[in-house]
Amino acid sequence: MSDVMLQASDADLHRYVDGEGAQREREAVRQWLDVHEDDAARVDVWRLQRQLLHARFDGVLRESLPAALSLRASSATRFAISPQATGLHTGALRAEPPLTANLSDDSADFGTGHRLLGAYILGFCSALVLVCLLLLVHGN
Amino acid sequence: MTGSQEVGKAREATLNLRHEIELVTPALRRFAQALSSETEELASGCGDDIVHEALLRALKYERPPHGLSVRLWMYGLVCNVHRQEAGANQAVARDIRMRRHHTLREANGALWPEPLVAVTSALQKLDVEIRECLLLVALEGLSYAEVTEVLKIPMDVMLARLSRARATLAVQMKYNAVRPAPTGTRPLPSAHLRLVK
Repeated sequence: MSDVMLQASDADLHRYVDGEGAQREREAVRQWLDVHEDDAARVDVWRLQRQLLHARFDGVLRESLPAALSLRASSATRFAISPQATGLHTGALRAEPPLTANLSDDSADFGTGHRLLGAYILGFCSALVLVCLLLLVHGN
Repeated sequence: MTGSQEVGKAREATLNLRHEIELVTPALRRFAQALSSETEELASGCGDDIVHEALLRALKYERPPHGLSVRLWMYGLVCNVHRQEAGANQAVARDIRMRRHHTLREANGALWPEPLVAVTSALQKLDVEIRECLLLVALEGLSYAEVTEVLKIPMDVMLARLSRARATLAVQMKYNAVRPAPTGTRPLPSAHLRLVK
């Protein structure tokens, strides 16, 4: 009983909640809290805060690392790509799905258009070459 | 021969460093996300931006300076990057927050149980210095001595910040919890959700 505290300071309570200090000191604070309900209530609030923070943010630990943050597959030089190139600072990581979907649709249309135009040009050129060959043959 | 040996040694040191950094990266993401949760929607993206910048800075070195452990060094880098980016993006973040305030509140309610929304919005109202301190202790589980190393502050300053952070967070959370009661007319979208422990 010689460890009973005369007065537990704010710092003592924080150290107790965070598991700092020696066993003896912690035991003394625990005894203090048994008889001081207001301090015990504050300590409970701090514990609840910690639980809530973990509940809110611990999910990140279970996610697989985004490729941009993984050092495993990349060599020292490969990771040194500028942030602009990875799109990290341009918001590519948090691009809204509808926006990217629209973009990809547009680019698909653009691609088909180009392919059609290419086919026309190719057809026209091959016809021209055929005519030239025919003319040559006839000329000879 | 000695030249190539030195090159080999340097390469090995770099590989070791990268391995050690990779081990702490998930925790760094969690810390950065909690630190930068200015808005829910941007939290994940902002956090990863900060971690990426911290990794880039770390990889310029072969080992942490001043004999720091890799883990503490990386936490310090994340804090530095966040402070710089928070300063630079303050206007942008405020603008986004203004425009999307209502949508965000609804989205939050749908995604997270009420106490978790309350703790996040209370967290973002803390000053950066005390938010860093609280998260390093309460979320990342660093010892007081480690926090003083990361933030390069004396122990009494650290304790004062921690104390202020916890008190302010408690007041903010109480305020958030009490505030909807007087209106009473608009039920919260997530009233049916409860925190599962």
